Amino acid sequence: MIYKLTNVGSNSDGFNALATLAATTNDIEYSSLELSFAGVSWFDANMVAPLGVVLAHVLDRYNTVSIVDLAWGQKSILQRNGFLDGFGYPAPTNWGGTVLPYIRYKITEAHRFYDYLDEYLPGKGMPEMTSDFSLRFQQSLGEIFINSQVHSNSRLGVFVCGQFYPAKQRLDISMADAGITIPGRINRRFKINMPPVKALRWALIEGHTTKQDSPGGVGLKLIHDFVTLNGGCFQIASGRAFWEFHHGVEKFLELGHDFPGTVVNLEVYTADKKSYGAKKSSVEM
Amino acid sequence: MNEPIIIRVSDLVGGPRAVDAADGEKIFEKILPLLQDGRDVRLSFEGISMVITAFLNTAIGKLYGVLPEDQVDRMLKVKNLLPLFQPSLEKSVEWSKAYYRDPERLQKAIMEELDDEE
Repeated sequence: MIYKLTNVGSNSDGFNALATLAATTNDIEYSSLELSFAGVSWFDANMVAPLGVVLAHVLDRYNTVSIVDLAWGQKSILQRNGFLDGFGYPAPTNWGGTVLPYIRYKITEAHRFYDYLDEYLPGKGMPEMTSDFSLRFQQSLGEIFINSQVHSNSRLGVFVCGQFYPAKQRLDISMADAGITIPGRINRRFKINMPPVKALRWALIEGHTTKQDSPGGVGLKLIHDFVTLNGGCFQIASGRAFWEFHHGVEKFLELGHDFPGTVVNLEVYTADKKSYGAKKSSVEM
Repeated sequence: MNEPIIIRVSDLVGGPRAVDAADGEKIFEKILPLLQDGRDVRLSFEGISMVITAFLNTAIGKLYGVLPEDQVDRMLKVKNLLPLFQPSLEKSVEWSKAYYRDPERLQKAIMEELDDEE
């Protein structure tokens, strides 16, 4: 099959493009997929994490995947973060100062994810934080990673990537798993048929969980509070449900197709001059 | 009177991070028989620089599903946890208690939401 991808930004249109790719390729097995970038004029580098989820599902059905018609600029973006390493374009030996590389983890590799944050987050434009707040921020990112382990049971792993755009004054980080989606596990756990957006809305309330043998419900509160003050953006796409929190405005919508996993996107406004801390800072949380 | 048994998290997780629910399970399995035997336990986080709620939920929170709340509160004490992780511990304990007091609470709540919609 030849599939012509459209633009993929860190927004609902981008997730719709990837969900459509997933739906269109859902039935192919023991075959091949040529993913053409001929119709792509923009691809946000961090969005290779959810693209990795879609392609992992395709590859898991004994297909081969090739990426074709890459313009020079796109090839440069996707090769620089290591995404094209498995597609004939080796990853660079030096990641450079703006890349959080594309890495696929097993869901049991939380320790390695923290190593990743330690290694690649510094120097990427994060606002000033006390060391305590920085640890709590990293703790929250890890909680999101661990949700994949505890809830999604993503046997294909967790995909992480990020990109710092100094000129645009933003840092984008994506974490994507290929497991059971949030609406899917709510409906399975409670034996109900809740619409996807409603299910995601329910799951975002602190204390709500689908875990049966131990309490769960780790909220996204610290990141949410941070984004509120920072002016960044926070998104979750899972199955057909999409949620975005941007400039204090919350938006839910239903995607045209199922995204086969869960993606959490965090966009940090890097020109933020506030200092974040637990106490005695300009912004306390 | 028996001396409390000290369990060092770092010995069981093999490093400075308590970030894996499976590691939390190891701690849970270590603590539970001691509490059941009536031994006081001190769970030491000395040397631990990162803790997440999923770990605390399995290491400590699950105890509330097996033993009475007051027994866990009385016999298990946490030591040397960095103050910045104290809110995570408090939240984990609070949610665990609420969860095990009424495990069907969430089922009821979500059914009510569905009923509201109809």
